[in-house]
Amino acid sequence: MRLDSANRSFLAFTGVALLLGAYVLCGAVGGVLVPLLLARVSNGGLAGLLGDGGSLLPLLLFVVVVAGGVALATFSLTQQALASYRLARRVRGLARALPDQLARTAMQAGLRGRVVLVDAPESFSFVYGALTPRVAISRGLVEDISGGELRAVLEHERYHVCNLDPLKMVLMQALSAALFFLPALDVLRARYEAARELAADRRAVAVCGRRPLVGALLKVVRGPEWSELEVAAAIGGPELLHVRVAQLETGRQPKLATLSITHATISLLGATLLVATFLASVSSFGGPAAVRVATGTGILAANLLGGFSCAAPFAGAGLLAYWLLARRASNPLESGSLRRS
Amino acid sequence: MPDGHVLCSRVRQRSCREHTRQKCSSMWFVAGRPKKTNSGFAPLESAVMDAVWAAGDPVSVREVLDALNARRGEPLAYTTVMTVMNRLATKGVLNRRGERRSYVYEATATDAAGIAVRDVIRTYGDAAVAHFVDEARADPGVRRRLRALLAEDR
Repeated sequence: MRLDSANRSFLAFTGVALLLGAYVLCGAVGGVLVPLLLARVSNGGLAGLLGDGGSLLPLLLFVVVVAGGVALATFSLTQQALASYRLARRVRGLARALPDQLARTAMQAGLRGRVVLVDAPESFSFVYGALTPRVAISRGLVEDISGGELRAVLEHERYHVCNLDPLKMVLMQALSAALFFLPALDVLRARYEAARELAADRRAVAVCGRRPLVGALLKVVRGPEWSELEVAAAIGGPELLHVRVAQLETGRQPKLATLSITHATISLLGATLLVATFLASVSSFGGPAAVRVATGTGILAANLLGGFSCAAPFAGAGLLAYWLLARRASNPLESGSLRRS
Repeated sequence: MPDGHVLCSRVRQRSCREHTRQKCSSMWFVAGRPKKTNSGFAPLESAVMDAVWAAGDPVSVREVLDALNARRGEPLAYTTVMTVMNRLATKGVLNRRGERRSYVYEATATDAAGIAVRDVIRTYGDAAVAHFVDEARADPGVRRRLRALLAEDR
């Protein structure tokens, strides 16, 4: 199966983040530093930590960066889970029964049970729900667009539902927060965000043709009365529309954002500093020889072994969970299951 | 004893700490602890918004006060309505114009649902993968290109 550019960006992002996270947390911390510190404490007690003129400063720096990353990721996950729950609750509060045409079109698009009509005069639609994605579409949009355009909008949204885009955004934001010292990952995230919209548009065009999608976009993109809502919805941005229109004009995916020298340099610097503080920590506690004594193996082997043994099950479990969720997302939901999400 | 005292006593019995937090201000006295409606407004906020929407044009605090009191047995104080309207302006629900002592207010959305949706997107936007909504303020060039595409496909 060939991955589209959105999923390639996502895979690259999570691959880098998972490997780095595993090698830092399980390899460097779990495989090297913890055994090293335990060996020091068991040999000389707490006073042994500072023996041989060793300094705790590099270790403290390393721990602050790693613990800070973990704390930021946890905070991000919590915030997003809370926001997701509240969003779903508010959408439910504004939900109205689907008119026949919308229910029929949702069924044709394979979104039975996943479309929620929001009683709002504005024109919008979005996908929400990390584990059970649904499409919220406004009464204003439904009243304003033709049957074909409605189908194009729903086909566009179906891509996001099947691709589990809300879940991917949650993961990417949490991992970005954890690896705050690697701004290069933000470029991958921006690529993913643009590419997923382009892929969703391609799906809508493949099913409905170009005209209905262009018509729907034109009706949404219209007025000064939207300005406040637009400012409020700071996801993506107006620049994304240029890229989407360019794809509709040429029929080809436009060039996506590439890694700038600044981002690459800062990321390299961040990674180097992290490795340097780790090596300095090891060095201040006796260096590779002490690691060999504490772990029974060399520093590199202990790190690689710890990192791999941690990354492999996470990657395996992650892939399995993704496969199950994606299979579930591609199927219709039982009608009336809105309240269970 | 006014209703507010009864409500405050109940609050005190239930939780002293909560009572302190609420401070039994004049608005709390009248309404007890405001329960948010579906649109996310407290009842008095909701009543003020209804009065503003009914007026259609920008309105002063006095006009809203008169409209509210015309439907109530126990009249509201001017300062209560002013406080609520200022709070709604701070939330971005009302737009305040004019000069000190002669402010007028107008709603920034056409109805409660519009405000609720905007509130949802502003607060929880990151939890949604929004697409069409992002593109709202496109420049005229983009609209021109979209119209050209439509013309091509005719």
